[in-house]
Amino acid sequence: MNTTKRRLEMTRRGFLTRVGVFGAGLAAASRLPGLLPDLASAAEVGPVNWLGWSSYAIPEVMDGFKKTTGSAVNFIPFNDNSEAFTKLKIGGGDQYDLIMADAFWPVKYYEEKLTQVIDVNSIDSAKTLFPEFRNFPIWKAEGGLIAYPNAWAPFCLIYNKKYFSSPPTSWEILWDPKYKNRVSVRGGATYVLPLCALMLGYEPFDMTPPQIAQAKDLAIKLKRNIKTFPSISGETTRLLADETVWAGYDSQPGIVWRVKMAGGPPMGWTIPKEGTHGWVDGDMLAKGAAHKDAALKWINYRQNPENHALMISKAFSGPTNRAAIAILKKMGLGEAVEALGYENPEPVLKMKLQKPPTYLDQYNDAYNEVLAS
Amino acid sequence: MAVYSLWVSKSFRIVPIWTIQNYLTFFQQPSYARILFRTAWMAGVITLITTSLAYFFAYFLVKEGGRFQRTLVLLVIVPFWTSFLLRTYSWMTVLGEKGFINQILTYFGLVERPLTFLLYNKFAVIVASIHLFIPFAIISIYTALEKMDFNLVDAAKDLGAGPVRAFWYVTLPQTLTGIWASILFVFIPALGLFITPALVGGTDGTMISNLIVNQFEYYRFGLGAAMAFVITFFVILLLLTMQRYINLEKIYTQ
Repeated sequence: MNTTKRRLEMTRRGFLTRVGVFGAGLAAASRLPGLLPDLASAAEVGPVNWLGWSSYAIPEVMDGFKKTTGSAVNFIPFNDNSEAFTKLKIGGGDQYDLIMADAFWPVKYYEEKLTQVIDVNSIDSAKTLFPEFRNFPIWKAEGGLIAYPNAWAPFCLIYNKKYFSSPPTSWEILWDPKYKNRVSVRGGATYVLPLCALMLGYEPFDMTPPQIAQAKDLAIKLKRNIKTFPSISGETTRLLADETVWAGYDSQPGIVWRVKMAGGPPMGWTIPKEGTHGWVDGDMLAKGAAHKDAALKWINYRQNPENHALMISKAFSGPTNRAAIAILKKMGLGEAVEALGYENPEPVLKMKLQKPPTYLDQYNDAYNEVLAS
Repeated sequence: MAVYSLWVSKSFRIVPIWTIQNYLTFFQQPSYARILFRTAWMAGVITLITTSLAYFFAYFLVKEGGRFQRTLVLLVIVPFWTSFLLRTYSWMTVLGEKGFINQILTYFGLVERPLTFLLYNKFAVIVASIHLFIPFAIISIYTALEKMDFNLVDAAKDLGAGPVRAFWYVTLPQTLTGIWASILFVFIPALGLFITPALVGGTDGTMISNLIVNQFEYYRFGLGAAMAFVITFFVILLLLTMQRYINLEKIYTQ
């Protein structure tokens, strides 16, 4: 019995020896050509580690890419630009190949040398990009763009037509006790505080510390009136579709169609008199991306007009690829294309775009105080 | 983590200068202390209700389970095979305005309009957490009850003790180890709840972990690490206090 037990037990020294032998064997094997993939083929084969918003991860497109190229896409979701920035700063190109970001955020990434320029001319799908995005001024850099344009929209107020006979004219309804627990606001420091800034007449992303303090007080009042702070637009869609809330502030008018597709009640959207801010998002290539070639192929594949249209038909953000419009119409979404102004993205160039707040830490402190209040 | 808690982060940069500023920030901002207190209170309520329900269920299992005892224990363990996230999501479909409970209530005419207070508040966090943690509590208490000699209860009754007295003086003291184990296994993870308050807590059910995650998402590793350490110190203090009154070793080796 003792002998059997001794055979089954492994001493610490024995364990370390086995691990050492296994490690040495693995290291030796990696030097044998063909036994383990080399770095060059890894760049080509992938998998593509893609950090993005969940509404853009379309399983059939990812499966199609795998079938076509043999490369898998490893999708990693995030909710907020600052969260993605933190992840790339920690993980770098070894861990992430492509990262999504909004408007001025790619500029910050590039300035901090976390990303590299994408040669748009080498991507076939870029041939049909709207000129507004092909030459998007804030993303232009020597040799191409610092982010490949994906989609766009203005932040807006989405409301249930059953409870609002005419479009609300002010963001104030979110604070109105008449709608207590019947409204929602997209959660996060860079969403809630900019909304309060609009109400106070301040620049959404350039508030000074005293202005942030005022916005925080307003946000605390807002918190007492709303049902919840959804962390993704899909959650706002669900809340509106099942009539848990009657109005919500979120990142795109397309939620109106998402609610419709989910079998919800008729919705409307509006940009209140205090104004709004908008976004254009895109894919950035991480500096030192381990799977660069596969990542560029993935951009080309998922942004070709068919796949772009498929993504827009699910996410209902504004398309950046002109050729996708005709496909969307063929898909029976002509009404949405017209109502959401998809054919004319010119207003994008006039929108106040999202950017990293000057006092980002203070935005975060203020938001945490709101949550804890 | 310990090192980070003694450095500060500014605008996505870590400043490697030794300071206790992060800990001072935590204790100087009333909102952080308030949310720590709220978290401890919610974890306490979750622990109390979970342990009480688990005790009744484990007692029923041991006394009345009969030949189905093993099957019932297996059924208690089954939820462990499903994802924590999925179990939390399932409560959204149960407690929502168009959820299972409201559909039943409106179908039978018990309410005119769906109840709105079931989801997106502290109540929802407590209910969902009880469901998440109750298997830990049941197994802890069941183990203690299974080892108990019920002849002692019969002896107490023979000597004139009523059922309540016999339970209080005989059953309860013999199963205290299981109760303490249940308290530890529920209270400590409940202090660190993140997904449940994020999904079903609404604006009022936020707990300390949600704020800690916010710090890390904004690259504020220093403050985030300091907040996490405050929770750790709190748990260690709790264990040391418990150590004075109960034999923790017996609980761990139960």
